[in-house]
Amino acid sequence: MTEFNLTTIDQTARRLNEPAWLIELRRRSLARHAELAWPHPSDDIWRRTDVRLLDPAQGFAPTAPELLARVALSDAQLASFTRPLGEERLIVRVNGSFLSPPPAMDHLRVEELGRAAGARPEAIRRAIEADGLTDAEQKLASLNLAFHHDDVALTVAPQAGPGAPIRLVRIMAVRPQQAVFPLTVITIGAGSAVTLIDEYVSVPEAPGTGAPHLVNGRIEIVLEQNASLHYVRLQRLDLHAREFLLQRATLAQGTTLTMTNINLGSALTKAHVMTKLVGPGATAKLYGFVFGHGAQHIDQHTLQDHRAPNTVSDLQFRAALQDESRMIYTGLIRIAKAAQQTNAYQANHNLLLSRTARAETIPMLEILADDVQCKHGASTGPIDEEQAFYLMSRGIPRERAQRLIVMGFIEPIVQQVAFAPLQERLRRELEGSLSDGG
Amino acid sequence: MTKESPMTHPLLAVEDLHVAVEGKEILKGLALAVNAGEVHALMGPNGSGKSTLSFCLMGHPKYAVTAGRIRYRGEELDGLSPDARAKRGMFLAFQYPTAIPGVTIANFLRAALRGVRGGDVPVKEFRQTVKTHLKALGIPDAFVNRYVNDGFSGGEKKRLEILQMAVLNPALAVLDETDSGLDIDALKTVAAGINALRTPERGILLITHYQRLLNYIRPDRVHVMVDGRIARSGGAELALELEAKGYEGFKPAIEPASV
Repeated sequence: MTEFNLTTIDQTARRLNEPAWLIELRRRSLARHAELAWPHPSDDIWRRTDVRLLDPAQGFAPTAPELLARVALSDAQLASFTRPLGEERLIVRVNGSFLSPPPAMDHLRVEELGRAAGARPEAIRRAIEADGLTDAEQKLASLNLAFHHDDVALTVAPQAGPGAPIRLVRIMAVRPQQAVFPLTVITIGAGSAVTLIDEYVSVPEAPGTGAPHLVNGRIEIVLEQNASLHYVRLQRLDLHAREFLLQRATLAQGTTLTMTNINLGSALTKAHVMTKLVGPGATAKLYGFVFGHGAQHIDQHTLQDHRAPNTVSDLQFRAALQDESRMIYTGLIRIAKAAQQTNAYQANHNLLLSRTARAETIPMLEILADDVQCKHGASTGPIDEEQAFYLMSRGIPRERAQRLIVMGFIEPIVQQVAFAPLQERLRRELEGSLSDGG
Repeated sequence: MTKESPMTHPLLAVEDLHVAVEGKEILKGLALAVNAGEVHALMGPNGSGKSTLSFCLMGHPKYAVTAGRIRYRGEELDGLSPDARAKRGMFLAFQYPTAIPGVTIANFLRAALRGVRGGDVPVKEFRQTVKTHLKALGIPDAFVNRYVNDGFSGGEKKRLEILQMAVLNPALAVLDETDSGLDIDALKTVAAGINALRTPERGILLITHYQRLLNYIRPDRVHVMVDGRIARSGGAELALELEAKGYEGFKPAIEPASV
C-alpha cells in the first residue's frame, strides 16, 4: 500500500513535471506536517469537529500516479456533470487531466500548476506559501502542499474585459479510502473583471461500500490592483466525502471580490474561508450557503482580515438544515491597527427544518484600529409559524408553504450568483432536494 | 328542498363561540351569521376580540375553540387546517400581513391559486388573471416581482391583500381592519376593490375599528362587539350611531372584576 511519504511525493512530482522549487516545497510541507500537533479541542475554531477524521494516516491511501490516468465514470455520469448551463466557457478536468485541451482564449490561461510554477515561480510561490496561517491550519494545509496532484493555475491577464463566465468543473472519481488533494491558484490581473464558477464533484467508484474518501483542498485567489471577480464555489462532493478546505483570497488596492460558497455535499466538511484585504479600498462581499441533510456535519470558519485602510467586508452565510444535519459557524473579523476607516459586517442565519438538526454560531472580533464600523448578527430557529400560517391561509399546504419559506430564505444568497442559468439550476436543485427530504 | 340542503345553511354561522389564547378566554359566547350576498360590518373597541375571531375563523393553531362552533356552509370547521379552509372558499385579509422575504408575489399567488383550485394553473391563464386584477386595482405589473410584504408600506400591504382576494375569488372574505393605516386615497382604492368583489355569491365580513370605511362600503348588517360578544346588531344606521356616541354606550352593564 502506498504511504503518505517522500516516495509518494517524488513519484507525483515526477509525473507532473514540476520545477525543483515546488518539489522542495512539497518535501518541506511534509516535514512541517510531521512536526505540528493536531489542533487542540480547547481552540474554539476546532472544538466541534473531530479533526482526526481528516487525518489521511487513519486508513486512507494517497492518490497513486496510476490512478490519475483512469476515468472510472460512465458517459452518462460525465454528461450530467458537464452539461453546459448556458453560454459559459466550460473547462472540465477529470482525475487531474483536462478532458479536452483547455480552450485557448485571449487573456485567459488555464494550465497545470507545475507548468505555471516553472514559468512564473514567484507569483505561484507567493500565492501558496503558508504566511498568516495558524499552526492548526497548517497541520492540514501542509498535507495538500505536500501531496497535491489535481492542481490548476487559472490566470487572467491584466485589463481583460468580463466576457462569458468561466466554469471550471473538477470531477474526482475516487476509490474507497482514497485521499485527493486538489490545489487551485486563481490570479486575476490588474484591472480585469471576471466571473468564475469553480465546481468540485466527487464520485465514488464503489458507493455501496459506504467507505469514506478524503478531499483536502486548497484554493488561492489573488486579485491584483483594481481587479474585480465574481467567484462561485460549488461543492458537490459525494455524501461519503470528508473534506478539509482552505480557501483564501488576497485583495490588492481597489479590488472587489464577490464570493458565493455553496456547499451541497460531503459527509463532513471543515472549511476555512479567509479573505485578506491587503490594499486600501478593497471590498469583499462574501456569501455562503449550506444545505444540510442526512447526518452531514458542516463546520465553517471565516476570517475577514482587514490589513489596509478604507476596506470593506460584508459577509452573509446561511444554512438550511434538515434531518440530523449539523452546522457550526465561527467567524472572525480582524482589523489591524493600520486599517482605519474600515467597515466590516458579518451575519450568520440558520434555519432548522427538523427537530434534530442543530446549528451553532460563534462570532469573534479582534479590532485594533479605532475608527472602524463593525457589526455582526446571528439567528438560529425553526420555520416561522406566522409565515407558515399566512401561506396556509391562502390554500398552500404546509409542506409546500415550508418549501416556499426555505426557498425564500436561500434566495438572497442565490441572487448573488452572477450567472442567471446557474441561479435557475440551483433553485430547481434545492427545491427538489427539499421535496424529497422535507 | 329538505332542511339539510346546503341552500338552507348560512354561508357562515358562528354559534356560542368561546375561544382561548394561551389559556385566556377572549371570545365569550359569540354568535354571528353571514349569508351569501351580504356584507356585515363587525365593529368594536380595541381588545374586544375582533382579530381573535378572524384568526380563529381561518384556523390559526394558537386559537383554541373551547366551546361552541363555527359552521361554513353547514360544515363544522373545528380541526380543519387553514389551507383546507381556504380551499373551501374562505379568505382572511390580515390586519398585519406577514412578510415572506425571498418569495415573489408571482410565485406566491401561483402556489395559492394551485392550492385553492387543487390542481395546476396554466401559466398563461395565471398571468392573464393577475394582470386583469392588477389593472383593476391600479397596481403596476412590476409589483408581482417584489417579495411578499417585504419592506412594504401599510398601503401596499393592504393592496396586496385585496389583490389576493381578487385572484383567489373566495366565497367568504373576512377583512380584518383593512382600512387601518390608510390615507384617504388608499382607502378609496381599497374600498373600490372590495365593492368590485361584492357579488350575490360572496359573503363579506368587514372588521373595523372606525366607521370611515363604511362611508365607501355600505354594509347590510352592523354588529357591535364588546368583550368577546356581540353587544348589538342592526342595519347600516348603527354605524352612524356609533360614530356619534362612541362605544361607551355598548359596554356591558357590569364590568368584569378583572378588568
